[in-house]
Amino acid sequence: MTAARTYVFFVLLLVLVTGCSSMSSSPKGQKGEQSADDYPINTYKRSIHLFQPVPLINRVESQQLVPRVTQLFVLVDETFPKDAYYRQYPLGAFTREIYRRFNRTIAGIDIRGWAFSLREKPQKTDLPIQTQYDSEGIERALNAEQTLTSIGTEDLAEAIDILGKMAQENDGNVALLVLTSWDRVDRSVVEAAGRFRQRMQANAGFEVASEQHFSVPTENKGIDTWRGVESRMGCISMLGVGNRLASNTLYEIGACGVSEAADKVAQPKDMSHFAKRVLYKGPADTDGDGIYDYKDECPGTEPGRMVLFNGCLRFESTVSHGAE
Amino acid sequence: MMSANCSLSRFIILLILTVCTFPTSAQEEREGVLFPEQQQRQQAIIAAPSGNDEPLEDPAPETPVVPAAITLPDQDKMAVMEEDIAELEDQEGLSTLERQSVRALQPIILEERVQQQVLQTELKQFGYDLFNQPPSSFESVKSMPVPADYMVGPGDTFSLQIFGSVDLQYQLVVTRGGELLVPEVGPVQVAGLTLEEAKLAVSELVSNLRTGTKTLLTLAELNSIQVNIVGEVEQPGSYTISGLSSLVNALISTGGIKRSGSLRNIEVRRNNVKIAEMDLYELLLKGKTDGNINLRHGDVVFIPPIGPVVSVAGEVQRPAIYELKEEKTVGDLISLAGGTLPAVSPSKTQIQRLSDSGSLTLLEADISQGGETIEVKNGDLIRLFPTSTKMDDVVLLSGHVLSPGGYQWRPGMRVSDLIDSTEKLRIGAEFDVALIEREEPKRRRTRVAYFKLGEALQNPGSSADLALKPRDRVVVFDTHTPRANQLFNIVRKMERQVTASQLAQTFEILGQVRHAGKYPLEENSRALDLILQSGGIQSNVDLNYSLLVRTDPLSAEIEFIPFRLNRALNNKTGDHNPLIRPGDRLYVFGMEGDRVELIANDIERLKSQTNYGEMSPVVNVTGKVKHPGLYPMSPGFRVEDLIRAAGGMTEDAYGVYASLARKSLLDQESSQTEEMTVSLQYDGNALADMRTILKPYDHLFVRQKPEWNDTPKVVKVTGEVRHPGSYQVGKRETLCGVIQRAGGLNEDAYLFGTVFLRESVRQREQKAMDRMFNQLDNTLANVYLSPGYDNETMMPAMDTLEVIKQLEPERAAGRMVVDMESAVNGCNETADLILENDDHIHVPTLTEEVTVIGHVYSPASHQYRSDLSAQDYINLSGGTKEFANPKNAYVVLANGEVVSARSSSGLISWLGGSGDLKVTPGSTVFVPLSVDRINDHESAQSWVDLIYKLALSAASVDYLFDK
Repeated sequence: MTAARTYVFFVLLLVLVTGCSSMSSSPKGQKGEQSADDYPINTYKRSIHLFQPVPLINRVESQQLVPRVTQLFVLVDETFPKDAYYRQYPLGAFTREIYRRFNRTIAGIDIRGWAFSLREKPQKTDLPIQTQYDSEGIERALNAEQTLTSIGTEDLAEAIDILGKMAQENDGNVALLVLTSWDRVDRSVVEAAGRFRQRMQANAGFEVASEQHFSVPTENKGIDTWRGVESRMGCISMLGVGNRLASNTLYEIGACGVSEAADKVAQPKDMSHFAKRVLYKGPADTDGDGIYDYKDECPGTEPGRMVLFNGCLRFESTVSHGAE
Repeated sequence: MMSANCSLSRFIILLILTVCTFPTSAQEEREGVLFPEQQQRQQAIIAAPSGNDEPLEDPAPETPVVPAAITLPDQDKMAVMEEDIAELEDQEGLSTLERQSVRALQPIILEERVQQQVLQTELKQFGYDLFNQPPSSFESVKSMPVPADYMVGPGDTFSLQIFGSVDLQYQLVVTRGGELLVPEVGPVQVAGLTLEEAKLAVSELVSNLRTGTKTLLTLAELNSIQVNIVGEVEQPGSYTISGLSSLVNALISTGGIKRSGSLRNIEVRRNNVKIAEMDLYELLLKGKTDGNINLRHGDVVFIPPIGPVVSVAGEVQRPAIYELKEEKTVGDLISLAGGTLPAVSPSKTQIQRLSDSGSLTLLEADISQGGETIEVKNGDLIRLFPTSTKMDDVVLLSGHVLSPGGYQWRPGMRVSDLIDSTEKLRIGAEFDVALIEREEPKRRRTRVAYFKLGEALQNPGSSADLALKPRDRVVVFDTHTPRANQLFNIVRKMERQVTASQLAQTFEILGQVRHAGKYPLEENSRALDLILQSGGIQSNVDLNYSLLVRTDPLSAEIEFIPFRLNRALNNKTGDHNPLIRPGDRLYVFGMEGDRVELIANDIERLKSQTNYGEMSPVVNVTGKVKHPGLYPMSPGFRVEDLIRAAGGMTEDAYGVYASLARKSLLDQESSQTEEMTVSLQYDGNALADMRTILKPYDHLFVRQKPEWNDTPKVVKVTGEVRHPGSYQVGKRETLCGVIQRAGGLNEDAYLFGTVFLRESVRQREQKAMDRMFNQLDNTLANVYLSPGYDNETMMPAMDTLEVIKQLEPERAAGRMVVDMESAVNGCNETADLILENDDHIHVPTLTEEVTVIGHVYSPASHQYRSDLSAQDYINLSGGTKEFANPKNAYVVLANGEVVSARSSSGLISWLGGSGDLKVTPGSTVFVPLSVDRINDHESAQSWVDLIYKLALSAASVDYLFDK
């Protein structure tokens, strides 16, 4: 009982503090008695500031980032035992806090998506299923101790399978972000992650890459720009809690997802960077000259021309060469 | 009074002479040297400001390109030549013309020498050298014939001969009264008469008085006359000189004219009347003696001050300072100076003049175009400069040709006119490229042009057959000498004509080219041209990646421009065949060779020129690529470019995913490294793929293929299988699999007797066996030396040892006992085993024999009979010997298993239990020696071991391979 009470207290405290800071940009609350000192800074040793998100949307606009996915699934592990503590902090609350930070960072981004809780039974406080990723709604829910939509199982591998089937029914590429403890990732989860990806690819009629993809294209083959195999992609990213240093248990699944320890991305800039890698490929390069559009002073370079760092042609004209 | 005056003046003269000794002796020293003017001129040339007309000096060479043992570059040759010329020209006794020929005889070079306007450092006044000789004597010349107009005066001594009727001879002196007192005749007035008149007068008188006689009057001794020499002479005064002295004699003998005196208006006054005027130049230049009268007593020689003078210097026969008389023009002066030398450059003639305003000016007087009519003024200096030594209208052929040197240039001349056939080339000449070094007349710069020699010779008049211009130098290369050495001189010339904010018109090419080094750059050259100029594209060149390092002339910062030669070959004017700028460096890489090391210096420079807040555009690739290392990151550099730059992936590279570590700067505070997986395909969905644009300091790691094994596993299967042979097997191939690949067993196969040999086992066995044989040797020694050694009792032991020795196999067999039946027939997982490299599986045919060896009386092989036991076979071989140890007898089964009598039947009794000892076809029964018989004290166990092993090898393996 006492553990539950402590938990409730912490959540309340969090709600108060973060709600406040989200409304006003100043770290000090307006109500007087809630100040930055009240923020549980001992939660994360590195965290000496309130979480002031670095909104990803700004970067998306300024750098013209190209989205990698059209759907975002978030699976938040809430099955931690009540007495599971990490750095004097309940693991469940820690996980929710990390997710809250992620959520606030991607606020304003237009994407379809759902957030699920890794629980077996639905609760009355569960968020209803949405069609659009509702960053604000989730923020409110997290602050108000409302629970996320239950996925219907406590088994991570099974949950990934359920999400895989859900994703299969929709179009576009999917990113699945799992927030859980590192020790939940075992062989079955890795296999489930592989299935998740295979489902997506199978749905799009993915063909196994032929052998020539494994070699560097040479001029002899007459192929200059290689067209990639267009397939649907399901990428699993993971934010692991419980171990500051561990990372990339899902590494071998492929070059798609990003796995990081939660502590590494807890800071605003790092979180923004992480969210960018989960959701975006990188800045757009429309003319394909290797210079991102936001830096490209000369858009529309013909293919195959050499450019300078500002995106303009290195050799302006091709002077005819003739011996005198 | 007169004589006193005379002696006084003599004294004065002597005094002055003594005083003047020093200058006189100084003059004498100078006279010893021939051609003082020429000498001075020579010195002037040598002392001329040297910086510009010396051969090109060697600035501290930047790169130690030139190996020492190579033939001298042209530059050095030229330096040597210059020294030689200077030496030759310094030789004494050469006239100006001869000296000039020294240079003309040298091999033709096109180098220009700067000609300073230095002619002579010193000019002398013309003509005064005449008086340099000291006065010989004041005595009159006796032997000198007396001229007919000689005026007889007092003091003359006559010799008078009267012959005919009488024969008389007198010596008569003209008296002061001017009379000649002839004895017996009387005085004859002769003074004032010429010699002829005096002769006539005397003859008349004598013949009048003495008829029949003839007279002969000769002047025996001259009188002395006294003349006054005044004006601008060295020693003015009265001189007593021979009565026969002419004006010039008088001047010379009295010390001559001062340099301030005129040589051209010498006056002789007699009785205050000017009777003669002499121009010494007429005498000196033309030999005319007009005015050189004989002086008479009392004559006054007056030397007026020098008149207007003009100096003539330079290319004339007698550069000197000339006094003017009638000469008015430059032409007059030049003819005074003896005319011009052949090497004169008429158009360059100058007059240096003191203008009215008092300053010096220069007048151009082109004597080839009316300049000689310019009037000269007092004090002018006429300078005549030599022509330049520059050769015009020649072309020079150098390099790998049979007769290098200068050739006449004709309008419309082309390379093929100069080299009209390949006969002119030496063996090994380069046909693909040759070079023309050309002076650009307008900008005064040396340029180069490369052309294809072979094409020019084959198709005269084609575009490769370049038109030649005067003073071109055609350089023919050869294929083997390092080309940079041949071009060293031109490159240095190029480097010298660099102006600000511009780099030398050179390029450098390095890497997989035949002649790496520095070359002069032809304008509008492209990368492929450069490669051709340095010997062409070599085999084994990486066509996918070359680098151009360009230096910014202002900031001196470098940038890398990667390009691909294969694209350049396809499109000669595209981006991948870039125009080369001065100072560019081109790296052409080979498929082999350390390209990373080659560009390491430039990479370091790239890093060092990076400022705060930026990141050096350098990316790193390691792992399974051909050339791992640091590469420059050009704009738009992608993962595929990096892999291409590194020569591609190696065969064992894992081609699906690589690992990319990226360093990112956060707010200029800290840097952070993140890692990502790169898909090595073109996969737009991956986090990063081949098209991913790299960032500075990215590090790509290409991993090895999983389970990559460099050495393939080969397993030999022989014997009774359907397809015996060597099979290459995969990592997890098993015994069962390989037998199946060999087509299964034949009908005759005796699977039970299969011999399975493994190299690793053999090595272990060999080691153990070697050790044991060492011990055996020790034991043998111990046996002989032991105190209880007894020949008779020990003899069998020795025999046994000898037997063992003989049994010693060449090498251990390495046999493994394998349950073939279950492994092959059932592919039983527990019995099956994973094969190793060099495993040998031999499936024998069924052998129907059982061999008995060891301490039996007749070791032999017997046909297998299922009803016989081991003991029966021993009995068939004659039974055990005396020292045999039947208790320890054992049977080696065909599959290698050993069944010991002890283990099978216990320790009860050999005879009782041996019947149970199972014997299968192909078995060997071995009856060992009683070990105790050899040496009680030695450890018997090792013996047993050894004998066991030997028996195993001997019995079961040797029969397989020896047969």
